[in-house]
Amino acid sequence: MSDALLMAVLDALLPGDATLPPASRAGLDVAKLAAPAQPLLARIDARAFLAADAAGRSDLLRAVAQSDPVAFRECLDRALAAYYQAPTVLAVFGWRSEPPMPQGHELIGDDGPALALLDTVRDRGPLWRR
Amino acid sequence: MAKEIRLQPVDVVVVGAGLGGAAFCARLSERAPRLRIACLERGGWFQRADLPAHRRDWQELMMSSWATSPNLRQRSGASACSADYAIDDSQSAFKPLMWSGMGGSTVNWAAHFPRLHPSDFRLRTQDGIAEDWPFSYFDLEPYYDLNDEAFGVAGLAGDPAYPPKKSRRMKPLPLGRLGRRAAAGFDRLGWHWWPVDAAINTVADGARGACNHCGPCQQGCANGAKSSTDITYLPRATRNGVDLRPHCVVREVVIEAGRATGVRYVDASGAEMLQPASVVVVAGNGVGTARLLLASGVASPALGRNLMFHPAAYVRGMFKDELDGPVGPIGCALYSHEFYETDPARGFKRGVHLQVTRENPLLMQAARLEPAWGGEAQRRLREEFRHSMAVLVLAEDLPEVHNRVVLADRMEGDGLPGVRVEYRLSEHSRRSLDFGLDRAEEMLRAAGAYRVVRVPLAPLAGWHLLGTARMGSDPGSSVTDAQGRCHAAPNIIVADGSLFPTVGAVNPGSTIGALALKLADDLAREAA
Ligand SMILES: Cc1cc2nc3c(=O)[nH]c(=O)nc-3n(C[C@H](O)[C@H](O)[C@H](O)COP(=O)(O)OP(=O)(O)OC[C@H]3O[C@@H](n4cnc5c(N)ncnc54)[C@H](O)[C@@H]3O)c2cc1C
Ligand code: SF4
Repeated sequence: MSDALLMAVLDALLPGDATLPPASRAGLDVAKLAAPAQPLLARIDARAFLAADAAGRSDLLRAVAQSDPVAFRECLDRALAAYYQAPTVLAVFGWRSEPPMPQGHELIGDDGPALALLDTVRDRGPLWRR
Repeated sequence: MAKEIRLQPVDVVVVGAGLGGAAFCARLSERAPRLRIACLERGGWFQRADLPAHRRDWQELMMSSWATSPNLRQRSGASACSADYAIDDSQSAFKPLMWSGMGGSTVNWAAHFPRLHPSDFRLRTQDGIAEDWPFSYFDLEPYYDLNDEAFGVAGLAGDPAYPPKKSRRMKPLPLGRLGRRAAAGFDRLGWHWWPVDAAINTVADGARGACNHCGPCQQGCANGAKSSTDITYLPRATRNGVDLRPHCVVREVVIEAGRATGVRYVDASGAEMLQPASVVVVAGNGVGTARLLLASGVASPALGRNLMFHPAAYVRGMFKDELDGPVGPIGCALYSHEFYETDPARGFKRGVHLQVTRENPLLMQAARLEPAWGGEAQRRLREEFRHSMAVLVLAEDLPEVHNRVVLADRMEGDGLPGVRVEYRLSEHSRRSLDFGLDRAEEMLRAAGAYRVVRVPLAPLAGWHLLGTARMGSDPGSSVTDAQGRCHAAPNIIVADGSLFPTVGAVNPGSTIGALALKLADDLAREAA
């Protein structure tokens, strides 16, 4: 029951869309989320939550978010971290899952025409006050 | 109780190896090579191989153990190698950010490297508010130049917002798609803009790489492209014989009959040390310096007061076309000083700095949505990621005595009293920020933004910790003289951002460095 509840809560937090997977299908290490989610799950009536439709689940989550904001934020932050660092999710956002280093990134395009606009700025003369 | 170990005296002991402390050590050791100088730093050296940029979970680390806030790092339970102390910031509109270790806050700074304007030194004379600095921009100019050389500035000479500066050592950072969009916006409005000066290598320099636009500069730069004092001033200081001591927490400046006689500190092994010294230099930043001097009983009514941050707010603009996303140094695209100088028609004195900044990583952007969960949040994130640009508004913060650093009643684990920061946003700052937000919005629309989101206050923007031991001539309203010497004990010299009588509206790093070099020269002349 609590696994099903955890999955259902994660999917309500991060439902995905046509191309973005819901949390339960994003390849997250769900076992790692179980402990930080526990205080939140303990406040949810599992039967009612699982029986509710998407809108009903959101309402139930909003209610616990109000009654225990700390437990809610802790679970949410862990879920967001797991989800938005998952390779499948990063790929949908057009971002790579390899770390920033050593590869770095490119800032593409030619700055020449933009830098040429500085002639107008130069032509105005000094802007600073003596 | 363990016995205190009394060390051989030195001529000068410097507390803190951050921006001011490192610059001071390097310069003094060059100008007065006979002086015995020791530098005590509460933190250690960080290892570039350990930085988040090498890890897949780098985004999460940015928000926890490698966050820019010492409180967040400590709360995460796995603080990075910064030797943090708790700061009670519950009564402060801005949360102090810093790094405690070799290099100080330049380890996690963004390396945006503007100078103050000449008018920033003359607020009382020109605008009838606050104080003048005890010297002018032009007195400090040679030291700005020296500091530029040490940091290796990338930029473009010829900016009409400033008196002419020497040519920048390296070509400017690329504008990228985001910068070019912003440039078009400023140009359309006929406003000043210029590529930023950045203390970042755009070409490789010795062992230090060129910036490869990896992104998370505020968690330390993995290839050394970003200048921080652990790789600029501190190696110079060591070569000159400065005795750099990491993991040494100074608990007290010992003062006898109105003069400092040395410092008490605890070293890495926990041993209690007494370091006698003829001169004590304190460079612990706007919070750390006030904390130490207050704890040491320095009797100066202005000590800890007049804390200034630079009030910050921003506007995000959403664009249909793709921009760069979290690529490249975050604070370093371009800026505008169109509204920097006072214009009486605006209803407030002084002005604002508009800085076009790069996007945050995906996770940070997701976590900052309100609410951050549900289908609508995900839809917004898809719309915004790699399609947004933020314009940061920094306003001139004026000195106010009620904005301050105070000691708390309890002792902390590092053997010093706890510290609290009290800071209220003034009506003047609010007006400046609102004016700046309006201009930022105007620019974003001119650049083609179809939607803008205003963030009227950015609490996690307490990057600049300034003014708590300010220079001046009146011992009642200032803490030090023009040479950084404490009125209450003239052989205690402050050499960091605490000294600023006023702060302009730009990032302070290049001025802190220049100032520390100047003060080191003042002391060297005297020691000669
Ligand atoms: C995230 C971030 C981004 C920033 N971005 C920019 C930017 O783009 N441009 C810019 O100009 N500025 C920026 N800044 C601000 C800039 O880094 C600081 O203003 C500057 O480093 C302050 O210099 P300082 O010498 O006053 O103090 P610091 O550099 O903070 O150094 C103080 C040192 O003193 C040590 N210390 C304190 N107390 C003790 C003690 N009791 N015993 C021993 N050691 C002690 C600390 O450990 C620390 O290493 C940024 C800051 C942060 C945190
Ligand atoms: S973006 Fe450039 S300066 Fe920033 S951390 Fe990466 S390499 Fe260093």
